Amino acid sequence: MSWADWIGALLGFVLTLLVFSYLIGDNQLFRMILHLFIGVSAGFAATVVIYNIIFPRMFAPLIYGQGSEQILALVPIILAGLLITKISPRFAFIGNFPMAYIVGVSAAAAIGGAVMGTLIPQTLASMNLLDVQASQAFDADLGLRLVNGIIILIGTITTLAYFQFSTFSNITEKTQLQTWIEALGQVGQVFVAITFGFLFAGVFSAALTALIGRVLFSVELFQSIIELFL
Amino acid sequence: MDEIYCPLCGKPNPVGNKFCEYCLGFLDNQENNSIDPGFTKEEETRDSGGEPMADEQHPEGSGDIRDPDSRDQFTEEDKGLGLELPAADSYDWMPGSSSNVESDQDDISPISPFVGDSEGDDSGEIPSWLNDALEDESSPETLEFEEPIEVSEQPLLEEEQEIKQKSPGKLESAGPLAGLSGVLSAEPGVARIRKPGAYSTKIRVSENQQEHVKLLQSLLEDEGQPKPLPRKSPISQQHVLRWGIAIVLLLAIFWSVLFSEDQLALPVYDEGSAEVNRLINQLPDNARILVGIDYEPGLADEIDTTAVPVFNHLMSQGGLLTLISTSPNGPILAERFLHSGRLEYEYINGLDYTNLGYIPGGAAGLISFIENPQGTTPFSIDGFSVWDSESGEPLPPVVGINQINDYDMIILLVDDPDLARIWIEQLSPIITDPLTLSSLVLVTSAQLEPVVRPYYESIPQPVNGLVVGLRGGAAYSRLIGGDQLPGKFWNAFGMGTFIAALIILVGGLAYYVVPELSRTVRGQEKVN
Repeated sequence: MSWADWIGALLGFVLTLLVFSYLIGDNQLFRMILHLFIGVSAGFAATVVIYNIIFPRMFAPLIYGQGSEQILALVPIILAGLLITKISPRFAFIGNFPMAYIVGVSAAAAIGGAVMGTLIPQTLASMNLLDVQASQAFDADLGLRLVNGIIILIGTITTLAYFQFSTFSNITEKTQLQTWIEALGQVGQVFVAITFGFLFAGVFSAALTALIGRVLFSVELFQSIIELFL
Repeated sequence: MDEIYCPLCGKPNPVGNKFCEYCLGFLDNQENNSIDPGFTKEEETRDSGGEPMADEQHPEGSGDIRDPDSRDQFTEEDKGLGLELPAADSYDWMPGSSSNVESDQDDISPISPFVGDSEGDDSGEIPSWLNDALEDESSPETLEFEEPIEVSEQPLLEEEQEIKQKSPGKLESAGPLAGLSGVLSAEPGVARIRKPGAYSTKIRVSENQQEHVKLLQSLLEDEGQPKPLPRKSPISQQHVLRWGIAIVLLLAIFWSVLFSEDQLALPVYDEGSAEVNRLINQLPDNARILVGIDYEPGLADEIDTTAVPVFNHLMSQGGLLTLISTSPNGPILAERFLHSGRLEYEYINGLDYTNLGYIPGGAAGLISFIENPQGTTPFSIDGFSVWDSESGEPLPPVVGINQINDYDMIILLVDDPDLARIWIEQLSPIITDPLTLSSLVLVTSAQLEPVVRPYYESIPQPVNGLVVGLRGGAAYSRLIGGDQLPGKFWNAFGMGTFIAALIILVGGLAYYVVPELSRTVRGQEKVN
């Protein structure tokens, strides 16, 4: 290991210990590490954006490019300039135009992707599970696939029923959910609980892996130090 | 009856006086001008709204009964007490009563303020000061003073008779206007000359109300007083619980890392990992692989450990990598992963791989890259032209790449559910196209499995392979048959998971059992 590696490893070990100090409670050292981490991330992100985006994509074509490239390079520069006016309350309205463009494009991309990439395909996939002919084409174990499809169908319907809060208004009777919807909702509650349990297990597993990574790093560092002195 | 009270000023005069010593008003020496102190006090209490007059005794028989309001009051209030309102005739003695107004006008002669009633009874004595003056015969005023007395005996003057005829009203019998007729009487309440009731300036507050006032006052005073915060114990139950769990987990992991010699068995089979293995095995030589690096440093240990077996396998096939990220931290994490020493192969930048850096704009930027990779990322992160190098040829990793489905495989390393969803949604139309030869493989954190597994399970598949978490990496490691995953890592993971499950089980039992036990003990104590 080079000296730079040693310094980096020791620094990493100290920072790991300071993060673990949160076990004692919220303290200044832990906050200092948080600020350090956020500052480093922001600084690195700014550097990447400047060297990877702003200079090569905005100013380089303007300086080194030719006619059409220079004109095209002006578009993002002008839009970015208009966006900077947001810092002044007096001229902030000028920044609304590029902001509206950004929000519109982002929303269109997100909604289009969600509908065409998730909503419709997943709905069709849930329906296909109960399509016997289609299932035979994909999977030899038809029975298991049908059972899987039925469980998914029941889970989908009952979970939707669990989040059903609308009722029909009735003057003569007390407004409440219909009994059969409440019963479906009770079943849906079981599916929701299983889903949350699954999510918790995944999060815990990820966190445990990160903890093991830090422990292994510390142990290997101490073993290296011991080998160095022995 | 020692005193008689003037009906006008209400002041006491000796019995027998015909005129008031204070206001010279006419005094009616009848018994109903006398005072029954108890009754008067009660009546005064009513008149003054419940506040008895302190030092004045008001003659009930003169002013009040003459007042029509008083009569009404008597009628309404005192009927219940058994008192009866006298008949109207019984007020004939009253100078102002309605029944004898006519007779008053005829009987009462004009009276000088200095002359007594000649027809008065024996008690109509001249006041002492007047008597003294009368006895002083040498005084010239005495002679003049006797004259009006005699005049008063004489018949009315013509002018007076004329006035009397012209003014049918009653003649004023007392006061400065005595002798005049047609004098308008004032309002009864106003005419009643007496002291106003003595009203107390103190608020009448009962003891109960006083208690409430004191209570409210003490509450308000307490609000203004700073109260010290309750001292929190530096070591609470939550602290103990947190430290206990941390110590148990850390001890288990350290013990596993330091002392465990036998490696736990790796997972036998994982369908998603097996599918990835199959896809990589099918790759052609020098396959072009697009690698999306979209995870944060916090989960780098998990993603890197999971991805090591996959990339070792991929590199063994000679795959050429193009790295891209929608996160600013992605490019540096990609470089770290390739050069961390955990991989069996050392790849060279520009030859075996190229890092296109960061795509801004989230989903919109990703769409732009998918539709036009060359226009969206013309340069690598180190500033070299990727698609049109100095030699006029593109760099080896991007040779033959004109659109996104020219890549043989797309591998996504991701730890964020939203980023994973955006990648899948935007790539889904390309991947699910039956004509495409490209495939999408995900290497993710364990916390993403609930989100990404439906994409893998569905038909058609937008995700063709899935390696999830450390377990997926271990399964892949077993598939390729090498020592790709550090044994200590897997052992520690197994031990940590077991201890965590044990803690959850014990905690859950304690949560339900301890309150039940304490309830039972309390019940037994009550019985005893």
